[in-house]
Amino acid sequence: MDLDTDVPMEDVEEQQLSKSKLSDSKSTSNTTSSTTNNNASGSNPSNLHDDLSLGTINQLDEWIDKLSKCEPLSEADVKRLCDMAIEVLQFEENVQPVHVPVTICGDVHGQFHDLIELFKIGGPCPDTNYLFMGDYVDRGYYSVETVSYLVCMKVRYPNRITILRGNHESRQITQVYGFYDECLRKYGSATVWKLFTDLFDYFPITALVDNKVFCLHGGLSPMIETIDQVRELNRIQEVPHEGPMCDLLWSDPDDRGGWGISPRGAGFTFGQDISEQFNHTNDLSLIARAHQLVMEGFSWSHQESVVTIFSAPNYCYRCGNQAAIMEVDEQHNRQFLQYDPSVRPGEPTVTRKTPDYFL
Amino acid sequence: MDDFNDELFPLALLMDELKHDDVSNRVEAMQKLDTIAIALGPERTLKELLPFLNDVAQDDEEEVFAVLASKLGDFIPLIGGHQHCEPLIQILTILASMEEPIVRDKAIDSLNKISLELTPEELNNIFLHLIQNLSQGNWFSKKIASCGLYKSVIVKVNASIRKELLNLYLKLVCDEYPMVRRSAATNLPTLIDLLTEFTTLTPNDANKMNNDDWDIISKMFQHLINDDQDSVKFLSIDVLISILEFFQKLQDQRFNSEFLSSSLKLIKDESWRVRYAAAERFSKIAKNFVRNESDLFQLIDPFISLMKDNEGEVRKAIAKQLPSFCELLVSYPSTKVTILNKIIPVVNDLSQDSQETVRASLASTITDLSPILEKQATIEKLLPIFLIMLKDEFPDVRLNIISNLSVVNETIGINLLSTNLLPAITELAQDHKWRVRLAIIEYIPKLAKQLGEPFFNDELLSLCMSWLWDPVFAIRDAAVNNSKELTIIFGSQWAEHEIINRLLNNGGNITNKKDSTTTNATTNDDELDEKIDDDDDDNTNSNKIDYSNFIIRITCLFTITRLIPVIDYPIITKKILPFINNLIVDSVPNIRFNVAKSYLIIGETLIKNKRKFNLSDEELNKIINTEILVNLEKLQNDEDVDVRYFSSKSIQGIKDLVN
Amino acid sequence: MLSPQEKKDKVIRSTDIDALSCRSSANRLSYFVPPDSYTDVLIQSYQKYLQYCQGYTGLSSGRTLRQSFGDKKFPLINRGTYFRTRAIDVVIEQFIKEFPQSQIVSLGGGSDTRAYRILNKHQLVNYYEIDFPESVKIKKLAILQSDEIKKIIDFKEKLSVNINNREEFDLMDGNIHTSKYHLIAYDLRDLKDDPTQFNQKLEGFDVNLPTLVLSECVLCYMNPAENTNVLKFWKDFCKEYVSVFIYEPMSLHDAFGTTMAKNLADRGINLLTFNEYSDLQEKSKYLHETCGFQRVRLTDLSEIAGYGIKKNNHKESWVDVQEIYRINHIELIDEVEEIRLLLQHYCLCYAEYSESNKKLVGIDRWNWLESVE
Repeated sequence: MDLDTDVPMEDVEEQQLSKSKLSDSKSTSNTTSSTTNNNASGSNPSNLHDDLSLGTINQLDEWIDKLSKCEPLSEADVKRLCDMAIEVLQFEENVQPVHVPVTICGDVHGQFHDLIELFKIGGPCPDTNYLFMGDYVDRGYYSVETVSYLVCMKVRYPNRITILRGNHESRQITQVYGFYDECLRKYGSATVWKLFTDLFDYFPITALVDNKVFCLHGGLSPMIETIDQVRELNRIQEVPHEGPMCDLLWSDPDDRGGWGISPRGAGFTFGQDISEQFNHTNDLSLIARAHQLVMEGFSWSHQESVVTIFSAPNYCYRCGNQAAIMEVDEQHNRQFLQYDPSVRPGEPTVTRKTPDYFL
Repeated sequence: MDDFNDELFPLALLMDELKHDDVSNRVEAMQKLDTIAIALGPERTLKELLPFLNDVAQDDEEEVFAVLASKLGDFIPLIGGHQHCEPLIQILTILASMEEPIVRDKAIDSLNKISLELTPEELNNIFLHLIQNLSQGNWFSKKIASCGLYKSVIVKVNASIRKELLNLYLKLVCDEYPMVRRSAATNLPTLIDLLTEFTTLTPNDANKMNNDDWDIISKMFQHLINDDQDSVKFLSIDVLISILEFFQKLQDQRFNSEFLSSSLKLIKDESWRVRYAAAERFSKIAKNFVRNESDLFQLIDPFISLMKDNEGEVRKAIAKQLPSFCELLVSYPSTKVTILNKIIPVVNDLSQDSQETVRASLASTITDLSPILEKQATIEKLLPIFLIMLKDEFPDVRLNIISNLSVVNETIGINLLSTNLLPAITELAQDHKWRVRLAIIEYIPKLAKQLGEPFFNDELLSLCMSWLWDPVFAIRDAAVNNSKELTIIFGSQWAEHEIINRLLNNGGNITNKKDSTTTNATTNDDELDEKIDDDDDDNTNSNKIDYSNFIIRITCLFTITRLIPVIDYPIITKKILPFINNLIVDSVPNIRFNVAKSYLIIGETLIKNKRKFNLSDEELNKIINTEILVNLEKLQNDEDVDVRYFSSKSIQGIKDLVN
Repeated sequence: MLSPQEKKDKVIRSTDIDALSCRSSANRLSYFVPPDSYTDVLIQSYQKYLQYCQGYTGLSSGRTLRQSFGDKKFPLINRGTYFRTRAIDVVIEQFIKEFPQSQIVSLGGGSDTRAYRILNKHQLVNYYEIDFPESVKIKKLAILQSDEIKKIIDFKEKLSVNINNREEFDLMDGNIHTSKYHLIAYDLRDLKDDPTQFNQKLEGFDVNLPTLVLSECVLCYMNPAENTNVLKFWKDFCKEYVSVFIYEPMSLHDAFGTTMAKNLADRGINLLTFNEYSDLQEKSKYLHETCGFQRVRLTDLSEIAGYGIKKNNHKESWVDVQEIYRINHIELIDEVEEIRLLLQHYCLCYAEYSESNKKLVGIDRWNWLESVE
């Protein structure tokens, strides 16, 4: 089979345009519904629609079972799953409210077995509440299984798990970093990739844990001063190349003050002054973010006003780093749990492609 | 993802799949090879598939070859029988000559498998030829391959061909390439064992082993023990063992002194690899000299010198041989006394070896010395060594001792043992690697059985409780399960007093109701530990559990729930139900839906144990209706969807059981 | 069927396909300005003739090429390829600027196209490329297909080569000698047996001309003794001024390096000096003390690409800010931490020796992390 890996970018752009037109109307009605809903107690989005039917629940439990053995779903099931997920995710907010206790996690990047290790450390979902800050796909060998599993959990237990969008949950990046190719390899066509990347547009981009901890994949944006400004964004679109939504998913904290040019080519670097101002303005105690490989799994910046959490141990099967997650309890105490790659004796290495080096 | 239709999978499709760029696809395609052959039928398999595979065998990657090599071993029936074996053998020969060990070994296995289906004539023609060609092959991987094939013919040929073959093999043993000599040495014991079996089973066969054969084999052995490469020489130890076993079987002791001196030469070899291999198989060698007291005696000093070897790997290997060798020494009074006089002092040194892996190895076998030494000597000589090892800084050493203590227990009883166990266990319990902690928890029920309740309560209980508050979920979960296992051992009353009452704060209420205010955010890395007052000496009020943390509340709930099936009725109604009832208004939904799950387990337990609990229908219905269902119905109207789901599910479950 | 040694050599030769595919990928994305127009000719030559190389057939050569050129490269590989090429280019340009009439020897350059870019610009340079006989044949067949390259290297023979099967490929002569360009089929590991035989192959070589010997990921596949042999050969062979310019991986003895060695070993590649000279200090000591070079300069690629931590403001940056900005905007890159790690494990070493005390003065325009006078 000859792989046509170059999906023309124009297609992507067109899809984006038509999607954002569509979602314009959707997002306005969305805002109204969420504001009215804020007055209702609990404000659980899942209360908007009825409880899942028993048939659906059994179906989801079956899928979760299959996926937890690292077996991918069929294409038809992915289609059904993504349809269900859109029903859930489209009603979530740009700044999705999350309650304590919750366990906050960083990049997973298709390292499925290490995700299972994460649940051994932090406890299984739904008993433990989880907030994942994006980057489920690309780089690792099991992006399909990883993202299918997390989305399944999201649909099955929408109140127990929050999945934010990372910069890798995008059409463009997944064509560069492996998810697209993995879908082609595992399903023989790009359909599953298209289903998931279309779904990614609905993922919330930030979360706010009890109004105190602001969680997002990348970092701050020079165009965003208040959390309310995030609420006003139209997020249901491909991650743009620039602008506030792009920055939230791409920026990094930096030792230098103020705003800086990011070496990544998207987003910005921001200094301690920026973080402190943002936390002060929005009455926050912490910004929790992921996005950067940190060798210990977590790393404080800006005098503990920003924390980076990275949950992919031995990233890309070659970096030798530890991973970590952060538990936040009802009193907002924080505990970091570090862990190493899962131990999988007898795992065949033959199907793995050697990571690239310069030869 | 589509599954292939097994029936009609044409060759063209296989060929297509084998051209796939992704090696895993090609491996997968290759795995269906037998199905394809069946679909094609013998004739087409022979005429079309095999020629194609012959090409593939020269043009792919190891993973694909490995599958091909093992699949072809079962191909004889698929090509219409052994008379068509030649093209098959040809492909496998290509694969067997490859450098990659996985491919080579699989191909050799398949060739040997095929040899079983051949007629003597075919063996003599085709197979013998193959072996001869490979043995004289133009590069070393062919010769390596040949070594693995002799075993399929060696006892099936007549005496003169056998002699020829042995001479050919002798050449491989003396080959210029160490890799070839290594392969020859590795396969030689199997050949000798086959010849042993052949000789002992058919002592009157016309083709039975003769002195010429033994001359050649003994030449091989002499070459091997004098090889200049240790990586070859060390393999001669297995050859020696096979030779020893041959003469042992024939009860022929003529060459004993010769063999003993060969053994001693290898045991004292200057290369550590050789000494290591000898140490690893010491008792196996010694076993063959046990008939003669003085022979056995001559092995004691070499044994001790291996225990004092400069190389840690050697000491590690010989430590494993301690019980089995000492068991041989018991045979004669003169050798038996040396255990206490000569060996135990060196064991003592070994227990404080500078290398942790040596100590860990000793720890895994030393307890087996206890029945050999019997009670008095165990107390006087071994126990002090155990104590040192239980304090070892390396967790594996302590773990190995602890997990093998039952045998010591049988010899000297638990009391002497127990007092010294604790510090070691406590330290393992706090190891920073969570898998080490997990290992010790999983051993606790075994230990509890050995120690008995009073001792356990005094010394280990608080440790078991502390695992419930470990930061890692897997440890908490193991601790929860541990409570259940302990309850099965010590009984319901014990669980009530020692676990349930503690978790319930002696009946105090769990405090975190909905609407309780939260304090300001503070950073604290160790909050779980601090919430528990770990003052072991005072079992009264200072030991209260602070329920403000969600993980502590849910762990209490998990523990109590896990205990339900193994405790008595009054505890369920008097302690557990009130505790669980209290939690239906917990502020955290995760607690509330786990409460819903717990109700189902209570219901199940009560219904299942109705007789055992001596429960009337009326009583049972009352509890189910007024305590369980009522509360579940409240939860069914919870604001959280998961609480609603799990309570409905529990209600349904209970209703199903009642009907 | 291949013997074990032939198999190892096949794997080593296959690294050239990797390198070519990286260059082609970076080129396609316009990392290079002006674009490298010769790379495609080399790819076409591989497409036609790889099947005749040892250990390949029509099936596996197609597969190998599709795999190498079909899979897209990660941006970190594209950037790394760019910075490697660029850094080597600027140093060579400096060398030619100071020694316009000089010789450049490229060891195991495979399908590298630098020779044609340089010869196109600099009339006085004499360029030698030395590689495995097979790699040389692939290259010669490419050259014969390109009038442009033929013109650049001053290839005047009217030669039409028609290779249609393995036998013809085996029999073909891969060597080329023109007034300014020499393509020489030789296995450098044979230097230890008979250097005089090699001398004879170096047609037109002037030991009295300043010479730069370039090794891009070549010496790293040889064992330490072979390494020293090759380096000492050139040091002793050239009488006026000689420098070796080496780009290769180093382990740094850290988690990343350990994993790298393991990953490459899985592919059958053993880097025989990877741990032996594992960082800039050890490499510098090796070049200076073991091989006897006088001035030695070393840096790692992360420094060159601007991911380094040490900043030396007195020095010119390897790649100017505008160019870095352009590069950073060709592809979004989400591997900043990883690219730093990866590039830290590649070194660039310039070591020179001259009995008449000649020096490449301009070498200190740039910041080097390690140097010996």
